[in-house]
Amino acid sequence: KKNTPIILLHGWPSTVWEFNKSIPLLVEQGYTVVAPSLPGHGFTDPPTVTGVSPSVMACAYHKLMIKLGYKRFIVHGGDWGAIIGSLITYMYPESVIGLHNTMNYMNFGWRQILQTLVGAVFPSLVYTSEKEKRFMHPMFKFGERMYRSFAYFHIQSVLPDSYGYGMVDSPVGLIGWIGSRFVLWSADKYGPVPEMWREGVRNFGIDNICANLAIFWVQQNALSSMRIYYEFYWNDLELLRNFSIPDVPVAISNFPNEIIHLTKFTSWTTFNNIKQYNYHDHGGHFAHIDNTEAVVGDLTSFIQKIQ
Amino acid sequence: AVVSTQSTGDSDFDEMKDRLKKRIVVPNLVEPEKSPYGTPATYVNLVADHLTDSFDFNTVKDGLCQFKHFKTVIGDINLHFIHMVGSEEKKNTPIILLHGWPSTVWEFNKSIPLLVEQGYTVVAPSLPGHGFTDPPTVTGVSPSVMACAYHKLMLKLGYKRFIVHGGDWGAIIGSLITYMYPESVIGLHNTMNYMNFGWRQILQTLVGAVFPSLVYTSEKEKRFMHPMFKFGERMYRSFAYFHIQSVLPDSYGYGMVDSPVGLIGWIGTTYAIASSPRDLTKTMMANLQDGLKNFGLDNACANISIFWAVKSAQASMRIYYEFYWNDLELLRNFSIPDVPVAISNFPNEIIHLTKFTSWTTFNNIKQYNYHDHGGHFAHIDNTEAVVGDLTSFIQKIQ
Repeated sequence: KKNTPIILLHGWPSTVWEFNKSIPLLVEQGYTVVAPSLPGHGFTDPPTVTGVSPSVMACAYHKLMIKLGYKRFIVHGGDWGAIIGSLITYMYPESVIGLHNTMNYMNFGWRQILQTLVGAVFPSLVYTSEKEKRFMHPMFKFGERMYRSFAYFHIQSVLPDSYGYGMVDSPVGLIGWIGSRFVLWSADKYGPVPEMWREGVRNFGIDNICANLAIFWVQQNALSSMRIYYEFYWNDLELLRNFSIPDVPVAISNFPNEIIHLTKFTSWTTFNNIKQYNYHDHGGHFAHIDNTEAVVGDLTSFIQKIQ
Repeated sequence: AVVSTQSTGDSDFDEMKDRLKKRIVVPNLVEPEKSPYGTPATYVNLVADHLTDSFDFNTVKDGLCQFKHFKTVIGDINLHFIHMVGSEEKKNTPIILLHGWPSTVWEFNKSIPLLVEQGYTVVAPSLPGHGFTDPPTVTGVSPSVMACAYHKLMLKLGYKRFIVHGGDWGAIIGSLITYMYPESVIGLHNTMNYMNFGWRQILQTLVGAVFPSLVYTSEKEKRFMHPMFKFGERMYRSFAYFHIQSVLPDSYGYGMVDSPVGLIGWIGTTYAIASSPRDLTKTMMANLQDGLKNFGLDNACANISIFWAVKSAQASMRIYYEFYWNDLELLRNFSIPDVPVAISNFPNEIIHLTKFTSWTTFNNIKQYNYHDHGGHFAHIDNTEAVVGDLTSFIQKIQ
């Protein structure tokens, strides 16, 4: 399996703990696995300079694989890892054998417009899953849903440090924000609120929550972890609005409690060569935790498909 | 009930100093004072060191103890307020002073004596979750609910008609009192203008894009709207905090109650930032330093100490949520047709509108003054001007 080394890219506010069950499954199948810590997360210290945006991290990760002697490799990611992995693929297509993401990429183009118009009248014609339909419907509530969903993105792209001092000096400050992400993003966000919290804790696992929190606490980097949103917004916005991947094969795994749900049709705006587009019946934003077999299964079947 | 502030805070303040001495603040950056990421660690450490080494908490207690404090239950709220009864000749124009977020009645510690010595009757409540009014234990306490509560307070005290004065949420709540109970309000005086939207804004923006000197009276008014293509970016920057606090007010707030640096890092910066010119060509630290020169490090520490002692920083942000999900339509559409209004314009305020566009909301503006210094908390950094505008307005409309 040495021709298909894999780089696993986690996002915010995760750590390499996310892959603690997946890496053994890949290793026992003989795969070579590289899993870096995103700066400010886990065991990579935050940058001491400004400007380390997702595109800069894409270059850094690419350089890492080259340094390790892997000229061509499989890229796998979720959250910022999916975005950075997509940028690696966009910037260095000759290096990437295939790209596998657990979080889809929300771009905007004629496909979105067409699908939204047709889907407003004939939803079953365009949406494959209930989640995809609810992501866009009803249209008049889309603005409100976006207002709710992107509030954290907004503040973290403008003042990432300002709310963060309490997350380094106080464990409840850390639990209250960082800790909540593991839960909320592992649950069905359309149900009743108290049930959503309980479900999220059940799916992600209270020990896994505590594992990530313990790492963030010890490393004291919760505050700096949020800076990637700022660097993205002020450096990479144009790039991320406009890039697409024309040739490199892409696979996307769709989990019901993920935070973005797009149809294969609209995914084509960004990814023009989708070789695999699977749906699963359980799992969320951190599928490596709450549906490990499905993620690893999708990844390995994708690799076999494209070799 | 009569309340004494003497009982508040000594042990809380000592605990805060203790926690600050053990604080974990990790700047990470090579040049933390140049951080573009919001509050720099340099500022947090500056305030923390002042609190542990120099700040005298007794100034807060002494400052507040010069006033008479009370509490009364209105609805679900146990409302704290200052009440200073004035002279006979001024008894027809009692004044209610309304602060906003994240302020406390400390904001008025210099203004109230100036008003009292002129014989005015002054009432100054603490906004729930700020200072000495506990946060509501039920949801739904939005600005319009607070407007009713404040109105009820004045009636309870025997004041059927009164002057309303406010800044920040106090200006908004005061405007709602005036809108809902015009028969009760002799006059409304705001230090923060109200940003509404109508044909006047559109017309002025179009004309002002070509002939700015024709429509804008001050440089600040012009820069608020110009250049147009940068307006979106300025709004994106300025309203980020408003957005998160209107959706997830508690989520970032646990660290502000459990950690004094969490409190300083957000709440503690607002006093400085809102008192500075917010010059984007300078670093955040430079702006904070400019702001502190105006607001005063001791005044910032006074507010921070109060928020620490009453442990309500997290709850204070909920007003943004309650506003957004309950009062949005009302606040988009209301206007005040008859009650006389005065607005004081300070250069470092966060909203700058022309008198022309202010007419969208306030149809009877009797006074519209500009001042050469002062910011969002003008009671702190230009006390004489605010009090002067308020008293001259009262005399004008009596």
